[in-house]
Amino acid sequence: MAAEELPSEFDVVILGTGLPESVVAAACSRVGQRVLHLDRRSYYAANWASFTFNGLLSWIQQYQEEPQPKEVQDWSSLLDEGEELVYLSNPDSASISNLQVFCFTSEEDEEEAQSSDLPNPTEEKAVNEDTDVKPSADSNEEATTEKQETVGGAEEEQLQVTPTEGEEQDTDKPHLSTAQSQLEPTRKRITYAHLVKEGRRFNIDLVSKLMYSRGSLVDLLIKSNVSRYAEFKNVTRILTYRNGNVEQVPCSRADVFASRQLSVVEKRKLMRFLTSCMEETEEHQAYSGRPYLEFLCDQKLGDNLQHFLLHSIAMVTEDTPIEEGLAATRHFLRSLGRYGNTPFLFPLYGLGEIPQCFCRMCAVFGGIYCLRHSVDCLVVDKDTNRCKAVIDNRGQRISCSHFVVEDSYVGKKAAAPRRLLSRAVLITDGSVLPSDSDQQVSMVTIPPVAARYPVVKMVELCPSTMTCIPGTYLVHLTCQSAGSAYEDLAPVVTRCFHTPDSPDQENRPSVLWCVYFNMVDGSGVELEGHGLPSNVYVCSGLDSTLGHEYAIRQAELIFQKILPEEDFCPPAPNPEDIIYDGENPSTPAGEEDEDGAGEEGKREQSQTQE
Amino acid sequence: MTSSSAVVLLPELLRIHDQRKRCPAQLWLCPLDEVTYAYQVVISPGTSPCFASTCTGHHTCRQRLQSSALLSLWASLLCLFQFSVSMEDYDYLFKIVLIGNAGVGKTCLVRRFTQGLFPPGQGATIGVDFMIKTVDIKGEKVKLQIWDTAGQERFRSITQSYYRSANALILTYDITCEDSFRCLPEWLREIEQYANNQVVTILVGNKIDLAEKREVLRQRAEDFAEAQSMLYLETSAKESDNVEKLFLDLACELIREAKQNKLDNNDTAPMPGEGKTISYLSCCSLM
Repeated sequence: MAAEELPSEFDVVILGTGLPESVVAAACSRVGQRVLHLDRRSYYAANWASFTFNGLLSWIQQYQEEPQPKEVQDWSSLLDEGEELVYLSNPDSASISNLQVFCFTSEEDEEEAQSSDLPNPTEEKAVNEDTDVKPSADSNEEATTEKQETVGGAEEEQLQVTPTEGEEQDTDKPHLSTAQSQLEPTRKRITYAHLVKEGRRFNIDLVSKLMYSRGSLVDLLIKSNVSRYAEFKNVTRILTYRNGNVEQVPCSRADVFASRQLSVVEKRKLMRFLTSCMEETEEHQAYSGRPYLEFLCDQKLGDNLQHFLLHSIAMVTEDTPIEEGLAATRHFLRSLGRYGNTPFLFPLYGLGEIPQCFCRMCAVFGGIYCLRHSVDCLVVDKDTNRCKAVIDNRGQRISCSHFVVEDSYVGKKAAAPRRLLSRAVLITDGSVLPSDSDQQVSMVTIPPVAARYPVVKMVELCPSTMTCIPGTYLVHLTCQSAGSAYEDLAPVVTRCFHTPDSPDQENRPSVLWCVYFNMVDGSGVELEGHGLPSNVYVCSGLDSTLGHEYAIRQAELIFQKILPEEDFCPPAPNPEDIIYDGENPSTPAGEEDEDGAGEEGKREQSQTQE
Repeated sequence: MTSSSAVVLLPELLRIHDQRKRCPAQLWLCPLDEVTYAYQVVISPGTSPCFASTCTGHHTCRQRLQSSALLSLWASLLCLFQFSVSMEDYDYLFKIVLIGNAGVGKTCLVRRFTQGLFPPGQGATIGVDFMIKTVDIKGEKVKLQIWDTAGQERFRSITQSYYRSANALILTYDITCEDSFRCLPEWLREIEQYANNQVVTILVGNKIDLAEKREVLRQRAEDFAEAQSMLYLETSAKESDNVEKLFLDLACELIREAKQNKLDNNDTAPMPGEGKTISYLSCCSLM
């Protein structure tokens, strides 16, 4: 079956199944283009993917292995006159670096075995930390634990960290175990073996983003009917880290009134400020070009409100200009109350679902999908400098009018130094702010913990988002890199969680397992250029913002370049509205569909059902 | 907690909210009651079945909504009206997903069942996401939503999201094609990885009208199905043999399980994709 040949003629060939590529694929296919969508990986969504726990472990292993230099095959025999080959680069491991894994829970399921001599489960943990303190990745991956970590150059850094960890732990261990045993004597430890066994039920995203309820992604999902493939949950609360505590940020009007942190005066001030934000006023113009913070200060809102407004609502830094700050505040407020108390939605089973939903839409309209399949080079017409065809990794020549490619395949041609994102993913055993409900989805904003540290965005997902197992929380941390992911984010992790590095935080949730890595922030990459033909479009990877605005705008731009006349993702017909030719409709016609989707569906059906 | 646990389904919510055309600043300032009332209508699980359905009444409601004055009261009333309409539409909604090699007749099975015809020729799946048929089982209306692979099985590239929240899987092979039978373990691995644990799986050997070309003996397939604790059935989409039985048996089995689950987890709120209780099926449905 895998040996089946691909068709050799398409309108659009797309390489890479990340979000922007998938949206372009769906949009082109929807308006009748013949689309071939490939990915060299064995999974969908590229760096936007979600993995099971075991899937993530193999992904880690893959990045810890030395990338094998790919043999460049000479396909010039497939060329016609007046054509030349442009080779794509070997993208492996270019976009992920500084990978570090830590396991702070016991490796094996030994609770029962040890329970007689160690009745206190936390003590067991402390003992196990002795053996685990060298950041061990995985009992199944003995080969990789040897050459721990690091694709980039974090090896030295790692060596520094390990001893300090050991020291701290030795000195603090007695204190730790007694203190915690008093607090929570019955807390059941989740072992590493348990995580592996239940690993299938994790869906761990490589990127961490949220969907603004009125953002372009949600609008597009609704407009195109792609939303029927996914389900969503509200982010239930916005939190912030302040003065060493995690606090809830009052968000909706109801929150503001219910808030116990705010005085009556503050409540009134906050409401008035937010209302005034919605429209451009002369006062705002007077501050033009100056920082948003300055404007906030002059409003005499007080420290509380200023913190909430700057870090949690606008989510900008202290030197962001007022225009940007106000725009961010408005975006937040606009999305508020559409689906719930916060402006954000999160897809069940993780963000990796979203590109797949667009891929399904593309396939439904005839797009052809093939994973584990790549493109080696482009066939370029010398006269017109246009890409006429691509040659895949099996030497098949596939002609196309347009070629869309993920930026990592042209990475080496962009010489500019790349910005990076720092990411951490933690599996913890409790929420950073326990509440009545244990099914809270929280967005946590963390201002710089010290000078020169970045602002960190943290998303805590509960098991009902279908991303982690009961009894655990999945925590994503993201920031723009100042150093390696570990350098940027470990200070935040030790402040908010209980790890061997922060033994005095025993009332905070414990980290069971975590991974740090850096990803390339592609938000500066141009769509065209790169010395490539004019009908080749490059999709940049991720960006550091919380929403999906950047990716969607990019997809729309590429679509408009390919098909300037066509509508971007018109609604797909409802299955119940489709009527087939030459038969008595067994379902009632959707004749009143006001946007014409039903009509269109019928027309298309009659075309395809010869 | 109740409102936060509800699964949000986008398009239906949009239909309600956009009628209201309130700017966000007003949302902040409008009376508290109105806001919470809107949430109750929109988000509480008790009322969400109306969003699950796309019954014909829906279209009329939508149009009336759009032309009517943008009063929240109106919207809510109509919504409640919709709710009552759609409650009569069906008692159960199940998502059934077809998998199996390309060319084994998955699409033909669906079209035979939903439309009573056998499409001649190939490649008719374009533009169709899933087909719907409502059947009557012992006086209960069961709406079956039957999803096809959209051709992604051709190069072994089915999206994981295709398997999410499926209630039943129909694993199909072609009795005249040994190869399609040999691929079954691969498909089972995929099921194990992505589908939820309690999914009902049925193995179907299609094309029994071509008995003279049979390559896979019935006994062999039965043994295989038994070893994997699957149900087994042989069908012909062309002659319409066993097709009706396949889907009706499946519907009965799903109802039985749903009732069982309801008894089992009376008090615990089901998790989407995990439980198959009635409340999940009717409230947090798939559309």
